[in-house]
Amino acid sequence: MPFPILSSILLTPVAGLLAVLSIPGERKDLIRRASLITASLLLAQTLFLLMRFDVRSGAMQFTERIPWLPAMGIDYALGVDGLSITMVLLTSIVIFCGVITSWTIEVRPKAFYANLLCLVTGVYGVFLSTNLFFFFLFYELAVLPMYLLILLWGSTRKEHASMKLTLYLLLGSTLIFAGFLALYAMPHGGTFDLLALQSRLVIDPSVQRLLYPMFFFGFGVLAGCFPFHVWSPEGHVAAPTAASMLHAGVLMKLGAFGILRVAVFLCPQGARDWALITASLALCNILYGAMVATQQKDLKFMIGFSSVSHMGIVLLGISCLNEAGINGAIFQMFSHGIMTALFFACVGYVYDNCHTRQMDELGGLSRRAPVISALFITAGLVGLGLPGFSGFIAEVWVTIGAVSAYPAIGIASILGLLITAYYILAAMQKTFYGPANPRHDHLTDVGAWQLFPRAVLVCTLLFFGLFPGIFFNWIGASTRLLAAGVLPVLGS
Amino acid sequence: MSPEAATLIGLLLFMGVMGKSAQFPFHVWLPDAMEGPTPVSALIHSATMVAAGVFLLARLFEVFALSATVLAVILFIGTLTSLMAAAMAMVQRDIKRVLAYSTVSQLGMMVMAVGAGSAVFALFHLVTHAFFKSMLFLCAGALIHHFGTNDLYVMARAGARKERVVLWCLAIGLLSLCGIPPFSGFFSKDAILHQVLHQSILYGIAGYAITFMTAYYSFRLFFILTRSAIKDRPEYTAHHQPVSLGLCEKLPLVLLAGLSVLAGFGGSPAMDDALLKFFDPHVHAAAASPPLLIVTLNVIALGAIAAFWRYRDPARTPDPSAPRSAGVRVLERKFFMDDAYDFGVKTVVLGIAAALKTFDTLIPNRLMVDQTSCATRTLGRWFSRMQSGFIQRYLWIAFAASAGLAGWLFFGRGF
Repeated sequence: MPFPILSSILLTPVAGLLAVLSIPGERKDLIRRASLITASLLLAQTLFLLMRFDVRSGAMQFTERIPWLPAMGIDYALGVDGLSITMVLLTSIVIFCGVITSWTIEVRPKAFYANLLCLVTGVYGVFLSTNLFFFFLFYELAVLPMYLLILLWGSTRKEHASMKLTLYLLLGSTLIFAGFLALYAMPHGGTFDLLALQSRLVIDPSVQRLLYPMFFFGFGVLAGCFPFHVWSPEGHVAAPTAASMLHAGVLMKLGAFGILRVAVFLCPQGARDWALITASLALCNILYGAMVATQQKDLKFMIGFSSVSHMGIVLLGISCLNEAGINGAIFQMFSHGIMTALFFACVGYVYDNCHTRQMDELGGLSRRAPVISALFITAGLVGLGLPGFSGFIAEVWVTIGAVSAYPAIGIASILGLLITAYYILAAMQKTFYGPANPRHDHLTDVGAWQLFPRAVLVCTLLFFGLFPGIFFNWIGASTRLLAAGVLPVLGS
Repeated sequence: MSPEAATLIGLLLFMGVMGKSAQFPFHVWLPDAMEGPTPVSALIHSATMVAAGVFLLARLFEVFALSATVLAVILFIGTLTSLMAAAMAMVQRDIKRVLAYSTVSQLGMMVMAVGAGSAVFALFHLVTHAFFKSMLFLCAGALIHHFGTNDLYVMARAGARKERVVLWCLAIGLLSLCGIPPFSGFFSKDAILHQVLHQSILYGIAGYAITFMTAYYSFRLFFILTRSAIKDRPEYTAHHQPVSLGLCEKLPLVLLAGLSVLAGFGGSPAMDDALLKFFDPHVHAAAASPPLLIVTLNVIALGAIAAFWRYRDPARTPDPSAPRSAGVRVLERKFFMDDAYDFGVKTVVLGIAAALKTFDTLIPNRLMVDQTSCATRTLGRWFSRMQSGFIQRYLWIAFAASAGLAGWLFFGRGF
């Protein structure tokens, strides 16, 4: 039996969690180091996995299966394809950078890192599970630690935000769970295995029309789909830096991942029927999120709404249901994850040192902290789609997909770029240029150790912006398979 | 490709060109970008970056030429831009702004050339313009560096006429800009005028109007610098000790001045149109027509004389702070274009954004989230009242329910 690398990836954070829990709380450095070792192991294993990954196949690879409740069709089953392997890479990079960024947390680091590792276990579980029961289990596991992270280490109306976020996401989960049970109860159902369901079930189009929105909006809540997005900016603002990074960087991607993995994969006919509506909502996301972002005074709120806008691009790409759109959507999921993580890492640094995120109270920071300003500006340029960074490629592909599927929506979505450029440049100017506020004269620039994770994020954005072919190579076969499931009937 | 598609594609591409090459109504950014350092203005905003739009027009000329409508629009926009910008250049006091508006005007002429059907002449003018305009900007930069001001009148009072090298280069650049032979601008502008006149007499007249205004603002710039002497007006005194100019500031000027003189010959019959043939081997350069040439030169002379007449006597230099006529004020307010943009962005777009933010607070937050939580709590309160623990109330409800049930069983059957 080959080495079960997926289980190893899934169990590494669990082991890290146990290690952190067994260390006494006052040995803060040891806790941090244990978490860093866990994150490094995760990153190393992910890179190893990527090297062994067969890009020609769109099917599940490295599959593992251990019967758990065979009578009910529940197995512990893992596997990766092009879609999930890139998400695993995203998670590994973000958690690695998040752990280092959280080095400065002095309040109960043991509980903090334990929650972080618990959360990340859930995230890996969702990306790797091919059994819907475990998928759902891990999906919930990923959401709940966020409640504690925000409640205990957050700021700005944290009780309200954490409650709102958790309840809203649970609302989405109930829809998803009801959908899973409906799948299970169908004739020829009786299993939670994703692939078995897909090959066995012939879901009547009228049923798909009911089932698809349950999945789309259930997962869409987590993906920040308009009008169910309100938990997200508030949650981002309230969460501590590393939690925001994971939250906007990875957690929101779980929603989009779920839509692709479950909704589009199992209900292609429903996806076609709903495509125009979901594409219109995605357009709302893009334009509405960007418009509201222009009105924000708090940097984190601005980034929160920019996430709403950028996730709209993902949802639009998915709604195109063609290869270009889905490819672009997956690339945007990855690119946006890294970009937002960088955004929050920079704002977190500013907030930790200036104790404010209000743009009016900042200003002229580039003179005091040129490096952190440059990093933030880089993230901003990625956000507004500067060629050379990964965001540009992603947006181009989604736009190509959208223009061929829905010309009007595709062209209107380009307007979002213009608004994005406006709010990002305005925020950059207010925060980092202009007259300096003497209150922040003590601000020192980011040191080497804290620069490191942010530099990793910038390099990732730049690398995939310059060599997007590598990424498309990973996801190409899987996307083709997914799009092929949707496309043939499209012409009829 | 259907004709409609060709028109649409051509117009959309041209919109991009309008932004990049500062064509009306997307020209407002260029003069404002003059806040940047002068070498940047020289390089980017006069020669290279704004040229990208014209280059795109020339490179994709076949695409634009698919639709006559597109070419007509290009010609119209180019002419309008060139006219407006030349008019605005006539009233500026900031040396860089005069040059900036003249850049917009010259870019307009290049776009006109494309609209009139000749991408080659557009490229030719692009090249000659790049040489003399970057030199003009560097001259302006040298003067600004030297006197510590952008204001023409302050420079004049501080003794601009003593900077011989810079002034000579400036003169060469301005003569080239006006299109006086044998400077390079003459060849390229003449070719464009020819082409436009060939296309339509109306646009040809517009071309001559542009030529007139170009001559006027060029000579105005030069006359203010060399002749005006505003006495006893302290606000026109430089507060800056003049910095002496070194070789590294003068050498590039002289080199570019040389190119400004020579580049034009590349497109002249004297050199067998070598430069034009480099752009397009099959180009047919229009044969020079002496009568037209004489008209052109007369128009330029007229512009120069008008400028001279207004600024002829140093003692009677027009007072720049005196109240201006309505026409001049419209020019100084840039035809209210900036105000229109301000209104469009600040009032309209940001107004919509503010409305959407209010919507976000009211509907998705208050109505969808807060009301749900409120309703849940209210329901909880109602249901909790049901288990109040008062036996009498339980009995009452049980009695009422039984009575209702009995009633339904008894009477309901009858109906």
